[in-house]
Amino acid sequence: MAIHSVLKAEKGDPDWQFSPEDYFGKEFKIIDASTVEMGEGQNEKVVLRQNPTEKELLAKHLKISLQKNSILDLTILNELDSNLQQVFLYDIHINMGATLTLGLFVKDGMLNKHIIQVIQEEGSTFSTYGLISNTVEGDTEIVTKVIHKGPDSISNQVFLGIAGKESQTVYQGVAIAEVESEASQIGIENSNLIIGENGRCYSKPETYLDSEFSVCATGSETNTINPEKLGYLQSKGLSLEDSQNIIVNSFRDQVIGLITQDLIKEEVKEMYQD
Amino acid sequence: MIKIKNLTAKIKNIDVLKNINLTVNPGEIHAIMGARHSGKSSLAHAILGNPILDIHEGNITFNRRSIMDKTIEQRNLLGIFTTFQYLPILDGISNFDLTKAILKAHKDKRSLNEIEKEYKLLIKELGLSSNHGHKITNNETMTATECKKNELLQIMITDPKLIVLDEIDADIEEDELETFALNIKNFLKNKKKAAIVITHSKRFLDLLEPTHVNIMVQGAIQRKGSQELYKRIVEDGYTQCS
Repeated sequence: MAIHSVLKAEKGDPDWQFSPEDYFGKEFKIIDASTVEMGEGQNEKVVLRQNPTEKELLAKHLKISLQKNSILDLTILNELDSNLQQVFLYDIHINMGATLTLGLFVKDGMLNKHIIQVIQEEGSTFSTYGLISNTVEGDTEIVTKVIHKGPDSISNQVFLGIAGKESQTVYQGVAIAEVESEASQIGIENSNLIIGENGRCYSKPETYLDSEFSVCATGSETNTINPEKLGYLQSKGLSLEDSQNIIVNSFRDQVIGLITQDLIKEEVKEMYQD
Repeated sequence: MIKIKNLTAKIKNIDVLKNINLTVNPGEIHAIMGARHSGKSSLAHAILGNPILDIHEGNITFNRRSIMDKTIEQRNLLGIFTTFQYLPILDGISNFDLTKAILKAHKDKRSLNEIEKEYKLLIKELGLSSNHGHKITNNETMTATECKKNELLQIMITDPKLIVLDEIDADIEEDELETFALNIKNFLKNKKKAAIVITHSKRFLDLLEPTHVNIMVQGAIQRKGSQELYKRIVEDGYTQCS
């Protein structure tokens, strides 16, 4: 990819017309490019930690390719300072019978955008889950586009969002079962918690079924901290602050609990402790 | 122990409590009965310290000190445990983790081993399942009866001085009510606790044997008496009190 320009993305309401194509194929400054390639039948657990410090708005590119019948359990931890803007691109191809489990835990940043495009072949499985959190008056976003090209492929997305005071999160998930992807299964679930004044959580799950016998399930909800829950916990002697922490931590734990490696689970918990 | 004097309160400018006077001493079980919207739960919320109530007259003292300026959690830490009529689901919080957090807030000096031991004993005593501690608090994995028993478990493990039960018998399965009520009664009587019990159920009161009965009508306590009073009210209806 040639280096010609810097990608422009501004804080504000998300542009719902946006799709990964707006980024893929366009020319902008890539500061880092990595490839994770899984050979046929290979089985790995990988953790990637992204803590960039570049001050320009730059993009990073991660290409993930899973060959036939390979299995990859990938957990990505990403934390960005409140004055930084970064865009991360994930270009994923899952071949026949391969399985990718992707845990994506992103935190803070002035603009912290993760764009994931996945192509799934026959009998492949893509399971992704994670947490989108911003409490530093910035904007943290996860945008996915999952394309089922082969039959009997399964994709499942579970993302939670937490927005603090004057902060914003965005989850935009699209899954498409193309004509040739008969009997595919799609699941998208997004739940958000606004924990600060003027916090905003945008959510847009979408599914398109163009193949026969394919099924989908989607769900999305956004809540503030329920005062009844707070009162209930306080009535048992817990302070307001402790009650809020319990509610927020338990909300996070719903996805942190999906991490299969215990040490990483603890690392992620610590990452979100303010 | 608790003394409510001339308490008058509003919610959103509507009178919900009118000149309430009630004293509850250790070893006394006060039943509060009344038709819907008669102010029973508002009374519980006034004791709880729910800021939704605009208390513009009267006073509540606990162990001779006013608690009017105390927050919800401060009142609990002083020894007042008020149960909620409707229990919220706490996604992601297990019953045992919540109990540990509560005991930490109470600065409980017991070791984790001692707490676990007592928790297991209480689970057995209350007829809860052995995996009760792992269940998510008040979610769909728990029956309504288990949720209410969990409240009782928290009461028993934190050992408060005054217990306010707001329709804790509601939704309890019929065949479990007797054991549940006897568990409460034994705890209250053996430990000489003060209790305020809000209920509509004659059977629950028959089992609990309250020492005092108070009938509320339109935000006020209209009648006070002994066990005979609730038996008569159940037969004649609340209209006889107004």
